[in-house]
Amino acid sequence: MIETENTPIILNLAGVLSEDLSKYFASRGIRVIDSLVENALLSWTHILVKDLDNFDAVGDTYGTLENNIRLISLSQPGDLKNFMMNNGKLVLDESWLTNAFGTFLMDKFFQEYGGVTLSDNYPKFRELGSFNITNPFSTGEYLDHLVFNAFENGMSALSVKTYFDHILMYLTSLKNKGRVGFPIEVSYGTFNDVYGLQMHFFAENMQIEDVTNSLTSRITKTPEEYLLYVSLHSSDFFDFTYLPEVKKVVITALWNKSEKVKTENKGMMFTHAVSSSSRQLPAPDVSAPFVLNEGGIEDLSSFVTPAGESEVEIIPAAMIEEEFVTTISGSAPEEETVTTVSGSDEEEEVSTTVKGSKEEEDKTVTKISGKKDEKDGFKVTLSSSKEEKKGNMTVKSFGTEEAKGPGMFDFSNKGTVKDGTGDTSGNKKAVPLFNVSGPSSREKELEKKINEIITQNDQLKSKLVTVTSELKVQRDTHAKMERIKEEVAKVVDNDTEPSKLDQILRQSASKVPTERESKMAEEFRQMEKLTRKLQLESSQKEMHLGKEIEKQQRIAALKETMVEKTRETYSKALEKKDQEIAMMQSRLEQANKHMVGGGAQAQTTQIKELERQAVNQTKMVEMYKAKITNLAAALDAQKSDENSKDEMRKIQLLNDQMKTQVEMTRKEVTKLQDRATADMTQLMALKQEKVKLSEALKKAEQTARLSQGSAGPQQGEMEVKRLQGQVQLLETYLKESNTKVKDLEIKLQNAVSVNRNTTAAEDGQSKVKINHLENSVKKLTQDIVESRNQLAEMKKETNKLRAEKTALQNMMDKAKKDLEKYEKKPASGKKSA
Amino acid sequence: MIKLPVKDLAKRKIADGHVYLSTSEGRKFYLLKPGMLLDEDFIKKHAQLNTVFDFEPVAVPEVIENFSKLFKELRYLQFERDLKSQSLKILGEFHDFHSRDGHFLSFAQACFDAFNLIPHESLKKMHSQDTQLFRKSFYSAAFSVAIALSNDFYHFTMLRDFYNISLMLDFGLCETNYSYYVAQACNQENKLPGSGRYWLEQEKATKQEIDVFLGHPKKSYDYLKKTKFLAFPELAEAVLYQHELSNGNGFPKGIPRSYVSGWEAVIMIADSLVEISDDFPFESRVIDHLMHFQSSKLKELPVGKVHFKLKETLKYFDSLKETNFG
Repeated sequence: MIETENTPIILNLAGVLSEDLSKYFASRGIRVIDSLVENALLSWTHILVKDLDNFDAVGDTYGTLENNIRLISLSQPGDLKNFMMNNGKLVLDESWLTNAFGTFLMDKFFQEYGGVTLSDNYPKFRELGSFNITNPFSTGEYLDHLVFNAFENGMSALSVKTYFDHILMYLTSLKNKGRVGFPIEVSYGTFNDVYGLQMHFFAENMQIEDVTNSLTSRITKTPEEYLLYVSLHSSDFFDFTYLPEVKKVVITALWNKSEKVKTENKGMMFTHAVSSSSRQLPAPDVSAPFVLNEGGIEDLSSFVTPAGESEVEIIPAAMIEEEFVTTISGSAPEEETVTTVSGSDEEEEVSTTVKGSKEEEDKTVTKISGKKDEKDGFKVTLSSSKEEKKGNMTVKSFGTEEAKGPGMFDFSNKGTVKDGTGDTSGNKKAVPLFNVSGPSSREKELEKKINEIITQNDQLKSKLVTVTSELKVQRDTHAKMERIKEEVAKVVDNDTEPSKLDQILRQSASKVPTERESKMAEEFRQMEKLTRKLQLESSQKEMHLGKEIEKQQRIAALKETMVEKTRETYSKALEKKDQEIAMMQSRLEQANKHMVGGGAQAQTTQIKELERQAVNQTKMVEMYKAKITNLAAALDAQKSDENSKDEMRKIQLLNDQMKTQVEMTRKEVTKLQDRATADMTQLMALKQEKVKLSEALKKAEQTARLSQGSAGPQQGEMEVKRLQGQVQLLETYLKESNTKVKDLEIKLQNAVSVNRNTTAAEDGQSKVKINHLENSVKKLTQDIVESRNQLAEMKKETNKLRAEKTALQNMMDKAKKDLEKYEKKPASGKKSA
Repeated sequence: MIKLPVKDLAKRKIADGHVYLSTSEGRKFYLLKPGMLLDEDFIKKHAQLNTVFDFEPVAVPEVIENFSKLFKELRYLQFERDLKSQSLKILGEFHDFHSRDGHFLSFAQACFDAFNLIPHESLKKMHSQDTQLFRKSFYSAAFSVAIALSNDFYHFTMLRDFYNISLMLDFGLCETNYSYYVAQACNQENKLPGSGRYWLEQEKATKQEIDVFLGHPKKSYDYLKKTKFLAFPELAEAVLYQHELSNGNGFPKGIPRSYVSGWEAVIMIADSLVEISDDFPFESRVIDHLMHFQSSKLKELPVGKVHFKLKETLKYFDSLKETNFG
């Protein structure tokens, strides 16, 4: 056997493998190492497991994901997702391997090949039809054809249709997510008892994980999980193959007519197919060549067809019109695995079925035959084959369907399925195509059968007890007879010659046995036969129980080995750590010894030198640390300086603005003060003039009274006009100053408010400055208020002056009138005179 | 042969017959072959001269109308049964294909009117690069519709995608380095699949020319990926399969036959139509050609099943012809 680089090396954690599986591995040159038998450490490519619910332990122990070690479960995993998460790739019951198809599935799995059509993916299949799906909601007609075809081929139409509907809706949901592209090409066909339905489509963004994430071991309400769950459980075998080179996914569902496969195990396979660099297995010893060459899938048919089995002929495309039909010639009968314990002429056969306490994995037929006179002349034939073709098989495996009849909707006896309870001749039952209660009734049937088996088993047990007691009695009688014989022999030995004894015996033998004697002998033989049969049965049972125990022991051993391995790894790690610690300690001790004085002078000086260096280094480090802290502080200060600089610049700007404003207000105030002083001087001048005027007026009145002069009133008028002009000027001045004061007030208020807003966020230094500015502003406002008061006073004075002026005016007018009167009087006096 | 003024010719997008120009001495110059794009410049030039052409019609207006009507009906059908029967109706129009000239051109014209979504600039670019290449694409695209219909791809949007993909299948050849050698390599490839590259190397073609030849599926694919008019963008992948071979030695991917799907085979068979376009006059024997010329060639292509279905469908109509028309 030549081992190639790609030859799988399998670690067996599943215990005893079935004969078929062992044969398969042997024929393909695949090395299977039993962990309990051989303690080898190899780079495993696959691990065989069985009866496991949680695969985390296996995954962790062997690093299945990291090392791409694929798990093969020979039983249905308890947690499917967990199985997949730990690189689970194949679920296949050993019962599949009883026929050629199981072998083919294994080949396909190990070689990781695939194709888009059914004949490419499963070369053994004969394609019966194909169609395309462009609109997933409009598939009725073609689906009808598919379902009809499945029914015609003896498959459960319900399963096929349920599968198709659900997987299509699952794919449609993936299409909505942009994972799947349309069209979907569908093809379907058969191979012997297997019916296949394949779909393939473009899936650029789809990964195996998209499917595994939706895998559940129970039905859920999440639409995708629900759809996939129903699809998976509607098929007997589910094959998901991804073709990365062309970004396509091929999903194949297979249905097997064998009821056993359906009930015991639904298989599934997840493959990441490769084309040119496909996994090659070495040529098997006996069967056909097993090498995938460049020619493609056609050549696969050769190696998947073991010698003597059905042949697949694939004709290249476009050669003839029938080029697309994969023809399958009739299959040769499979070799039965027969173990003959002993053989003799068969005069009488006792056939019985030996059944285990659990579900039967192998139907065993035990044929017991022997000659009447020969006590040990039994022939025991043990057969593990499921095939029911052979005539010597007296026990039929139940549930072998053989749907007949073209009438799809014909509910008459045409469409029938064999009952499968043992009677193959007459017990035909009409099974309609749309038998909705299909799976549940099957389950009931199975339940019934199991119950029957249990009762039979109980009966057998009771029978065994009675027979053993009978046997005991028989043995006792036999022993008694032996003893009698011995006694007789003794008597004969003592009394007669050996020749005489012979004579007596011969005489007794030649004597015709009495009726009672012959009856007893017959009974004895019967009993002995029965005893042997029961012994065989019990040994079979023992074997079965032994197997069960062994299986359990193996599981336990597996767990133990796992625990042991983990313990070993931990202990190794601990040991390593201990070693490290020990090494460290020894080093420390050595160093201590050297330190204490055991070392040489040179070493001590060296140490001293090193210490000195260390001290220097630490000093240097401290120095650098200090430097770093200084630098950091400087950096911080620089940073803060930069920040404060900005703020200062802002404040400076504000300050300048305020200063200019203050300067302006000061100037304004000085201007106003100047004006006020000017006004005051004017007022003083006016007052003086007023005083002068009043004096002049008094003098004028006096002179008028005295001398009745005429030049005075004109001068007074002139004076009054001048005063009026001055008053008007003063009034305008006042108005102007008022408006200016108001403007200044507004400006000041604005400046103060701006100052307050800006200063709110500034630091203490700027606050001081602002306070200073505020104080100056306050002073200015006080000045302004004062000047305003002064102005008010001046206003009052001007009003007084105005009033005085008007009074003076009135007095002037009166004086004028009086003067006129006086002037008229002398004139009239003169006239009269 | 009829006289056709330039203004009447300008109404057409594609030449539906042979167009000649006669000199005053009575000499005829062959100007346009059926299936050629009517170039704007060509029309403008002759409009100024007010040219009257000699025209030999090939396509049949009634047939074009009939196909157009059937396509229009197909567009609005929803149910599988209706779609199926309509597709059979369309293919049924082929049943007397052998006896009538111009039938396939009429079909191609109706397809162009019903399905074409390619911008005029792209068509013009291809036409100006190589008129033969354009004609081939024009017929291949129509052929893809017939193949798709016979293989149960009968949804209007999908047929439209097949048409446009086939039309742009060789758009990647429209490169500056496209030369006589590249065109000849294409012919060689069609005669004997897988021989194009070898021929180029033997003829000592430049690296650029070899690159244009080997890289054109990818470039066509990139062009189609950029466009937004495909209802099923994933179908554009089929462009990458146009030169794949059964033994996995094709290009650009070199995938084996078992990886080619039906929808990709539709495009591949449609592409193989190129060979008939060099003969003159060829339109009358298109289907005869289809039935026979490919048999040797298809051995190399991973398209068997689709071709078989096409043949079966057309044979079915042949048998109808024998029954109904003796």
